[in-house]
Parts: sequence; C-alpha cells; structure tokens
Amino acid sequence: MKNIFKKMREFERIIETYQNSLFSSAFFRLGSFETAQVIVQEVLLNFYETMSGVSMIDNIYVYLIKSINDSCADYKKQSLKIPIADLYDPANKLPDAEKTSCLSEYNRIEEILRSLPEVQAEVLRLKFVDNLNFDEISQVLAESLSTVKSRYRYANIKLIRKNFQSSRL
Amino acid sequence: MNVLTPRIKPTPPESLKVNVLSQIRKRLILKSIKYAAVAALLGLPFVIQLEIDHYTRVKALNLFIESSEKTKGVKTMVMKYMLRTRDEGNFEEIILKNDFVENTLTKSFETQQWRIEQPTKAVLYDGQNTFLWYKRSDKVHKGEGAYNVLGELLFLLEPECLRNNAHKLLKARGTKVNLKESNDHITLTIASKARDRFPKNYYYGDISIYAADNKQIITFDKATKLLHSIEIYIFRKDKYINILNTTDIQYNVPVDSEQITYLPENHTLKELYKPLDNPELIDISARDAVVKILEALHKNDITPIKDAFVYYEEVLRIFCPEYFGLEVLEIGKAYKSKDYFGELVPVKLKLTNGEIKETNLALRNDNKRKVWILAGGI
Repeated sequence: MKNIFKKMREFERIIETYQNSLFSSAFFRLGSFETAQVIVQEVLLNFYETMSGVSMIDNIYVYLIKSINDSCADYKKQSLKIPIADLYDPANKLPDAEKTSCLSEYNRIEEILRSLPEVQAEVLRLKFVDNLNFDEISQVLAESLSTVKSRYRYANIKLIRKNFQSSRL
Repeated sequence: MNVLTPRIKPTPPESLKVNVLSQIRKRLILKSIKYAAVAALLGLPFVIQLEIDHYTRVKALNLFIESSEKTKGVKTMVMKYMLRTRDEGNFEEIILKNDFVENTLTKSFETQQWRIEQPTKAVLYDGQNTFLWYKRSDKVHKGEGAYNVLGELLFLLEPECLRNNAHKLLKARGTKVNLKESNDHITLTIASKARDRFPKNYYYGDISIYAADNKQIITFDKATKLLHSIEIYIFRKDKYINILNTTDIQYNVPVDSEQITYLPENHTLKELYKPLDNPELIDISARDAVVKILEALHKNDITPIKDAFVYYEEVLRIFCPEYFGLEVLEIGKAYKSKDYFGELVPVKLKLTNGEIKETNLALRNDNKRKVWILAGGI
C-alpha cells in the first residue's frame, strides 16, 4: 500500500508538470478542447498503468507526447473510440475569450500546414508546438534521424516556396 | 518570430486532473478486489512469479535503453543477415515458404549513407536520395530523400529502433521474457502474441512479424552492450519457423563511401518523383484502374498507361514475365484496410506459365494529380 501512495504522489506530480503541454499538444492536433481533454486524460490513465516501470522511461515528456500523437492520429482515423461522457465534464469549460483566441490560432497554423503532406506537417508540429528536438522527434515517430531531418527540410523548402517565409521557420 | 509556434496556448480545465485521479482510484479498488480473489485461489507462488516477471521486463528494457545509447557512439556497421524472402519483392518482404536470401547491410552513421545488397538487387541511400538497382537491368530507380525500405525490419538499419519495438513488446499482454547471461553475452528471448491484424495474403509478403505469434532471440555483447545477433521466428501450424537471423555484425570497421554508393557505369536513372500525369488513370475508381492495368498486361502493351507501372515495370520484366499475356479470371470489389493508405483490389489471374494467381493488388494515388499506380500485390 505504501508503494501505491508513493506512486500516486509521483503521478500527481507528473500530471501537474505536463498537463499544460499535453493539452496544448492535443488541441493543436485536433482543434477541439473537449476531445483534447478526453485524449489527454486517456493518455495519462494509460501512462499510470505503465508507471511501475517509470524509471525505465528515459524521457517522460517524449513518451507522453508520442502517446498524444498516436492517440490523436488514431482518433482522426476514427479507430479510437473515446468515452466522452465518462471523462469530460461539460460544466468545466474554458472562458469564451480564451477559447476564441486559441481556435483562431489553431486555424492559422493549420492553414499553413495544410499545404504540406501530413508526414511533414507532423514533424513541424512536434518541433514547434511540442518543442522537441530532432532526436526526440525521431523517437516519437519511430523514424530515423535522417528521415525526420529530410522531412523537415522538404517542408521548409515547400513553405518558403509558398511565401510563408515572411518570418522564416 | 516563428510562424508555426502558437502565440497562445489553451489552459487545461481543472477537471482534467480531477477526472484522471478519480478514475485511477476506481481502478485501484477494482484491482485490489480482483488480486485478493486470485491470490486466495492460487496462493503465494503466483504472486512471486508476477514479481519475477516484472523484474525481468524492467531489466530487459533497461538493456535496450543502454544498448541504444551505446549505438549512438558507433561510426560504421556491417551486418550480414539471412531473410526468407523473394528476389522480386521489397527488402522487407517475408515469405515463409521461401529459402533464405543473404543480405549485406553496410551503414556509415557519420554520413548516414547505407546500402543493402542482395544477390539480385541493391538499395542505397547516398545521404540525399535513395537508389534501387535490379542487377539484371541497367535502369536505376531514384527516389527523393531517405526511403524506409525495411518497413518493420527497420531496426536492422537503425539499431536504436530496437528500443521502440522492445518497449511495445514488453508492455504487451501475453509477452513472455527470458533473460540469460553468459560470460560474454546477454540473451533475451521475447515471445509475444500477434498484435496487428493484417488481412491474409496482404500485398507485401505473406506475413508481418507482428501479425503472428512470434519469438525474437536478441543477444547483446555484455561488455559493449551492442547488438550481437538477432533471430526472429514466426509461429505457424504448431511450430516456430525461423524467418530472419543475423550471421555476422561488425562495428566500426572501415567503410568506403564509394563502396556504399556504387552503381553500375552507364546506368540510366528512372526518377520516381517525376510528376505523374497519365489522364487514363485519373478520376477513375481503383477497381477501374485495375481493369486498365490488367488489360495492358493481357495485351502485353503497358505503354498507354506507363505511369501505373512506375514502380513495377522492371520487376515485372525481370522477375515476372509470366504476367505479360495473362488472362483475367475475376476482379473483386476494391476495399480499404486500416493498415494501408491506398486501396486493395482482389483479383484471380491465369498467368502465361499456367499458374492461377489469387492476390490483392495494392493501388495508391497519393500523388499530386491523383494518378493510380500499382504499388504491390504482384
């Protein structure tokens, strides 16, 4: 029992440390506050189940971002069914002003990324929304470092060609 | 300021943390009841076995992490491995009934250049582009950037990917792990249950490792923690069949860049990234595209719809001439699989050598003008 309490305390600390980044990460992939919340909750619950081996995970943030990335991709492909009624409390909404600003920011970024193949857009999201370096991105995508760099380079070239370079990547 | 960095980020609602913690408490209570019932029935030895199993998994995963870190210090690698596959297929294909084919993989981690050589074909990445050469042809296919030609066998080329694979296997339900140490080596045997469900006769190879119950015997050098050997078995009809095993892995041996990037003199390049624009293959269904493809093969004239054969022309001419002049017996309805982003069309064909071939032709049109091309199933 002593271990369970220790694990719970550690888990609470992990939620507090990462929930902002994870929520933002899921939101900028899906454009929905409700779905983002449910996905983050599911990811954290699954993470808790594997936590007995938390010491084996060398970078918790990368691990969690990978889970968010995979879950969002599954959700988009509609292969992930999420029990919204169980996990989302509609009474607990974000203030409208914040919601509007975030949605317009999501639309602005998506508009830019829409011109790219999804595999390249994914690399840019991981770099700029989740602040991962190339090594971490290659872990998240389970792709080689050279593949990730190559996708980044081609995305960069395409965006520059499309005159998005008013502020360079 | 970076245009892709969000200028504002949403704050998670307070209910997020509350919901997660309350779900966990509910699960803990249920789990305690379940464990108590099981322990009462089976007694202490079961609990002890659980603990031993957990300890082995943690130790195994730590070993993969350590090996992955050590691999970052490697400059070159030359690996020889045997794979049950076929000459006309991709480098990732596994064909259980076939004999082993020898592969030599050479990689420079410094330049990121690599080459995989089989007796009849070679593929290489020169640091910028990927080249595929069927040795009986003077044509070399060129693709932009680095292609993942090994699919689920990518860990051979990128040993650090072993860690990701291992992580998935070790946390999967039903996986059994055994760890043995000798003076020089640490050997892990990981037996796991089928994870993915690829359709039978899926277009590449006849099996995916993770679509079957499988066993991997992975040996690390005890001193360096680098991968020493790997054997992979697939469980089929009450026995394990060996589908891949490394015969030699050498690290930090001198590797010549010219040796990796060698292509025959006077070869002609076929650029795979050239835009496709065959109007015959645009704005039609995948099934209709298959009808045109098979008609062209039947007439032995693929010129009018050459774009459809951008990947396959050489393969067909060199390895499968029996497709030219084929008879179509049946064409089924196109369908999608969650494991493949294109479409699959089941067909039944009579080849010119008399063989009746039932397969799923894989088609994709993820190019700029949505031109359907043949991507697999031959």
